[in-house]
Amino acid sequence: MLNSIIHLFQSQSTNIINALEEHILLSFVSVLIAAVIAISLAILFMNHRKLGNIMLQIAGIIQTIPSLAVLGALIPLVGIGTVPAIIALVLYAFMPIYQNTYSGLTNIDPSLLEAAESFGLSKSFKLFKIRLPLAMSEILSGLRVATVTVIGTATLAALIGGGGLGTFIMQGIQNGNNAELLLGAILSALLAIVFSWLLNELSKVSFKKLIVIVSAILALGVGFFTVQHIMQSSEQTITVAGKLGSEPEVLMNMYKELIENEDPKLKVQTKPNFGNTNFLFKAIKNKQVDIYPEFTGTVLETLHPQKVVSHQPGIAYNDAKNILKRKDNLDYLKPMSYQNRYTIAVRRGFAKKHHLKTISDLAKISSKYSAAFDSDFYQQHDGYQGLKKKYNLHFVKIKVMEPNLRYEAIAHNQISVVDGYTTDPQLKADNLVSLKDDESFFPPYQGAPLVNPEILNKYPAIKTALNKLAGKITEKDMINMNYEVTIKHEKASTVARRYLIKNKLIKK
Amino acid sequence: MKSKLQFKHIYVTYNKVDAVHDLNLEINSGELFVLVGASGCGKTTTLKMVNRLQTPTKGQILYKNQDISKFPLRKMRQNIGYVFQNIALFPNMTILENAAIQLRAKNVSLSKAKPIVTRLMKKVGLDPKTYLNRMPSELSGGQQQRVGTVRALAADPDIILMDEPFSALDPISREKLQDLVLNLYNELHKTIIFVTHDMNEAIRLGTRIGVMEHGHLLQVGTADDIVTHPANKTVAAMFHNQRSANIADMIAGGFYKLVDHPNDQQYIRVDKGISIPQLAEKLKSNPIIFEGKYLITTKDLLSFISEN
Repeated sequence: MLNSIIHLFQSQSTNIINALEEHILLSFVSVLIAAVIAISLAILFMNHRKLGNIMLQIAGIIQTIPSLAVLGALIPLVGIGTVPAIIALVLYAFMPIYQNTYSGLTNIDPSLLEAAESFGLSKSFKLFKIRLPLAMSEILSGLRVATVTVIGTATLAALIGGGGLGTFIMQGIQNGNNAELLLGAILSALLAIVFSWLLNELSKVSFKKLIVIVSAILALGVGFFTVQHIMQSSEQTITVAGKLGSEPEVLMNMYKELIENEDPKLKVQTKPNFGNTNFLFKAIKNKQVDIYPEFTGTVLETLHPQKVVSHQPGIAYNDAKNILKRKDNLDYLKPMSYQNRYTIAVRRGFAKKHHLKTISDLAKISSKYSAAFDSDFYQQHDGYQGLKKKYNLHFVKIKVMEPNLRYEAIAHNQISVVDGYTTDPQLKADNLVSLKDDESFFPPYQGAPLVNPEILNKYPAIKTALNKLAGKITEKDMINMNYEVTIKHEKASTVARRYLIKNKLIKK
Repeated sequence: MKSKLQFKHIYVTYNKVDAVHDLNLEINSGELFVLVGASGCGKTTTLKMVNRLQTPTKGQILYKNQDISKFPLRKMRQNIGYVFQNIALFPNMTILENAAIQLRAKNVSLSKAKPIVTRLMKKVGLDPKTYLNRMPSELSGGQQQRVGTVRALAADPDIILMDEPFSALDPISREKLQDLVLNLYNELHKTIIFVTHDMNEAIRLGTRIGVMEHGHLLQVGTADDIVTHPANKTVAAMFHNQRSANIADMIAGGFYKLVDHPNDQQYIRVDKGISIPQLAEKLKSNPIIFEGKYLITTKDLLSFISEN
């Protein structure tokens, strides 16, 4: 485990640094905004106890709402990405900062306040030289609690395309890669510890120095943002995004290479691990994303569920294309060769021994062997429940397992048959073969670029570039590439480029 | 002496109970006026009305014949010094910043305030070099209240309000600070209004004393007036203990020898009002001459004590 974490560090160092940067920025901006709002409100309410306490109740209620629910509620309002993530984090950071600031400002020894009153001090003098300095240690401890909470919660930002260390955790869960999961978790914990320590050190500094330090950090932050903003706005950039996982990331990098190769004036920005299907689909409709790879099956079953889905890949693609144009005004370019859909897999040796090529072959001997299935696949009508009837399967025993455990189980010979996806890298890693769906039970899942038509009109080169992938990339190719990224921890961009060069789709 | 501060038919009422009831009082310019009474008698409430920390329910307070409620509040307070019972130095500020706070309120910069504070620190017996940059928590209670006194004086106010300033201190510090107040008063001649529950302190400090009970001002007068001619039984009872030890009692009791021309240099001359313990202290060295004709010896004192 330690070895694979170290290996991850080496192979993914750029990604790790990027994620760390995103995470720090996300947390910092959120705590900063929360601090400005919370401290201002606490100052506003410090002489109105009733309002101040009502605010405290509200902050407490906000704190009890599960963070996932907040994120979910924000999507229809502000879409996906960094903005809803920051809003959710601000909500979480608000309560500890407000509570501590309010209590710090209102629990000052009344005789000191009376003294300040008696000497005829101005309001600003009383606030900045007396009340705030006296409340400072409490305010800082509130900031510390808020920072630790936010750094922890910010891992959820990955769910809605906000980036950060959560990306590793999500990917780790998705791929069953514990090293990746641990990496994300450890880094975010370390980050929390470091910032908590920094804030603790700050609380020992005098009020004046503190103001200087905070202003310096603020100035730096604003400067950084401005520079970043200017740099970003000076180029024409196309945003390519993808769902969680290695496969979308490889495809995104291919799109980038192909577009930039076709028209060197265009700059492509990739946003890997942008979140799940719904987030991404909303993002392309809101024009936050210009291009992302989507599957025909997902369009017809999830985005715009159809009663009948053709099992002919060509027809399914045309249906999906027409629906997307009609309902969302999105262009669905030509699909690639491979399909990423459910499959049934067995060990290579097992297949050879029993002469298995298709699921029908398996049906003949199924009554002698046991299978392990993912729980979704086992329960769904378009999964095992339908498959069983179509092929007349009767396994001795069926175990419902976590997706990764079932691969481990078959790799260790504890089970003979598993479900899986046709491009899972484990097929290669564990030396499995997927059996042909000879009765065409599973609906087709062909990948193709989903594109915002405005971009295509503006830059026709994009269409030419992306169509070069039409009919390319077989299931075997995709398994290999997934294997290289997920198991061998190669960079997705390297793997993508290697494929394009090898297949002469771009020049060296 | 021109009347400076006048309370006219002042009432302060909380929940239909008068904390201050029909208070009529004139405090003269340059006076060290002591308000004395048990806790809850309304003396602090009366003090706080002077700088409008407390507003009267009814009545009027005049300063130089003008209604104080008409003055701009902050400006008015900037010209009133205040020494607090619990000292109330700001724990986040140095001694210099604390002492200069009223000057800062009047927009005097810290660097311009520093020489003023330095001079006053010397006056109250605190070495400026040692203390100006310390924090309040590094000082003893007595030292802190000296700083509290400097703070009240720094902006050169017309009036200084002192609210039981020494009640939290040990007896030795208290006596030292009482001496300090007397010295400062004699030197600066500010109007000082001093609130205390300690009759001894009142007698020791006050040029005049106002005695309060249950919101009523019972009597106003000099220490002598009040001790010798209490307005009623309550006042008499309050000051009863104060009557025990006085040279006048020895004279009245006949514990002396009359001499015509006491030229002997070894005799110590004393003023009226000297207490018996002070007398005993002086008698340790030499006999005493009082009012130029009464000779008092150690033997006289012993007889007085044994018969009282």
